Amino acid sequence: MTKPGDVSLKQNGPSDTPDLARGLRAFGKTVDGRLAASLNACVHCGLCADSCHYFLANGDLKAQPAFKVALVQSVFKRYHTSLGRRLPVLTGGRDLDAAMVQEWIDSLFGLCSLCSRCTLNCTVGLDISRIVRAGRSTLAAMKLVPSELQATVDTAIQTGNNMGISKAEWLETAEWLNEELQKELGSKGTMLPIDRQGANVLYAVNPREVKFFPLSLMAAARIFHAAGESWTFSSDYYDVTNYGLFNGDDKAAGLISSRLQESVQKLKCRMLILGECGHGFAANRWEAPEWLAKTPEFEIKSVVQLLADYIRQGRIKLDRSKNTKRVTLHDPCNLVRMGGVIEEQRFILSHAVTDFVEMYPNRENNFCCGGGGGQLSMTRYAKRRLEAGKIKAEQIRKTGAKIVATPCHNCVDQLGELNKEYKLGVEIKTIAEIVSDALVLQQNS
Amino acid sequence: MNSIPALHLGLAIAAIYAAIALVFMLFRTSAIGRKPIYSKAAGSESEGIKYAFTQGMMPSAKESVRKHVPTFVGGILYHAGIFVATLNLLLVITHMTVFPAVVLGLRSLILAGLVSGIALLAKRLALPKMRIISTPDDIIANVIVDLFLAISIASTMSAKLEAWLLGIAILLLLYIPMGKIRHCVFFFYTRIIFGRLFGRRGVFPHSTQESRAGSG
Repeated sequence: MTKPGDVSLKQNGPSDTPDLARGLRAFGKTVDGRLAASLNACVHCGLCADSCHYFLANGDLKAQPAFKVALVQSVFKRYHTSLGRRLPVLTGGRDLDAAMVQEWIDSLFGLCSLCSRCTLNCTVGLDISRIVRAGRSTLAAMKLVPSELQATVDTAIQTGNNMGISKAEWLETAEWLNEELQKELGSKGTMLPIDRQGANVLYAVNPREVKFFPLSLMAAARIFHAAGESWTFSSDYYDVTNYGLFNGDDKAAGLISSRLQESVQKLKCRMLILGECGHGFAANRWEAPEWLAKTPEFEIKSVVQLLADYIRQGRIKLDRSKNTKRVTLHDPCNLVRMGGVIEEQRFILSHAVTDFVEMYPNRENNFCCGGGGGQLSMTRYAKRRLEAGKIKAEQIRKTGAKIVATPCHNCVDQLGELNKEYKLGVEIKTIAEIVSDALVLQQNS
Repeated sequence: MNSIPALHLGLAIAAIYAAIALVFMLFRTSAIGRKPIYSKAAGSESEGIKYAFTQGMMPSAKESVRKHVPTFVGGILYHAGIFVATLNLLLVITHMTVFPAVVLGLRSLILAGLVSGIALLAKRLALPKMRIISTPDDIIANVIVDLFLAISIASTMSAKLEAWLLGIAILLLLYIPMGKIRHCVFFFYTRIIFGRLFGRRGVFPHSTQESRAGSG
């Protein structure tokens, strides 16, 4: 495993020398009005520090959001402000050189999960995640994205999903799960439809579900079956994740999202339903239209919103008494703070469990678990990631819950690791799994 | 030779320069990479902007503020002091006479601002956490403003200090567009961006009283 300090330029690029001219051109392209305003408005008050789980976990001064902003701001001032060009010392302007690039990699990739909690707590309201991502985009243009994260993006582009699952393996898994569900439900119909033309819903999932968490897929299929939903998977593109959001490469991110959108159109579906994945929601619901400069002609929703609709419309019935252990909820940053899906998961849990308790703070103020921003893929920063997760672990411990529900598979993975690291003794479940456990299946369903 | 008329002229020129430079910067910034937004809104941008300038600025909405009340109060007093000192400058250059009680009130507010400004500067210099994010611009801007506040206070006690007040005001106005004090306009721009982003996504306005409880 690579150590944090080893994020050398050698490992990431074809040569030892970063292409700084290319980086500066790329940085210039990221500077739009929103970014320039933010970089002009930071007053270095430092009040954002305590909102960051990295800073709170170990007090590393370089982890405070204002430091990350200052790193990007110093290059902005050096090349994009008149005083900075003439008197860089006065404004804190710095050249984008090899040393700065190294600092950017370590700080912008290694000390940030792009959770945006600092943005909410900024006295000015700077979009700090956007600033950090602009730095990542610049590094991406110089081919200096940490190799593990870049590999995740490359795999998604080359194979259609970030885990490199072959189409044959995917279809085989779906067939096996289909048989299992047919046995369980005593039905001969197709439980996991693939490439069903004209289905109402195209369902996209995290490929980790296919590889490691098939029960999660079964849970969703069971719910769709109970709701009488017309739905389908795509045999080609079913990956809800988009690590292009994290490596900063808009072109790659746009390509990944465009494939899902094309699948919806190809299968003539009415809705793209995004499985439980925080960043997948933010990427496909909010960012993809901007990357692709096109408003989708179909509806894009989180499966959490769809499940809430099913309950409201009486399409599924839940028995809360089937889930009696105390449950708390972890809010994925990209679904909640940056996504706006805030109350639906609470509404669902209020119908699916008997003992629900909030962790504090919650909703848009919730702390990141530490798994976002591509951190789960960047193994070189694993130690920092687990350390930063201490804040979340303490939040969970205080609730006394036995189950932590979260509508995000990346969060599931990180929370699972925190569970072991901090000996929390909890189960981590997705919302669909909890709903599936509480599902009342009708005789004729 | 009486330098006051020349300083008045200098002040007017500096004020016009600062205003034009700031407006130019705002327009130039807003024009960079401007493009339409393609994602379908889930909430209201205008409601988000309203939130950004009202509830969203309250301590109840910001854990960072709740955890640092002295700094927050210091910042409020500092900015209030600057506004009052600017008002005092207008009184001085128009030779408008006000009641002694008003002068005392102005002086007290500017003094509170000055003390806050010095305290914020001391914090910036003393804490490693602040030093690592500070630039010479942060120090210079604070010092110029503190001098403006100090001379403003002194000018309320002696009319002989008008030239000094005009001189520091000119320096301040010339510095505003160059350094961090440009946040006086970019602050509003950024809050609008904040409101649009979170309003559009349906995050704000949102009833979050529950979410903040126990958050420190």
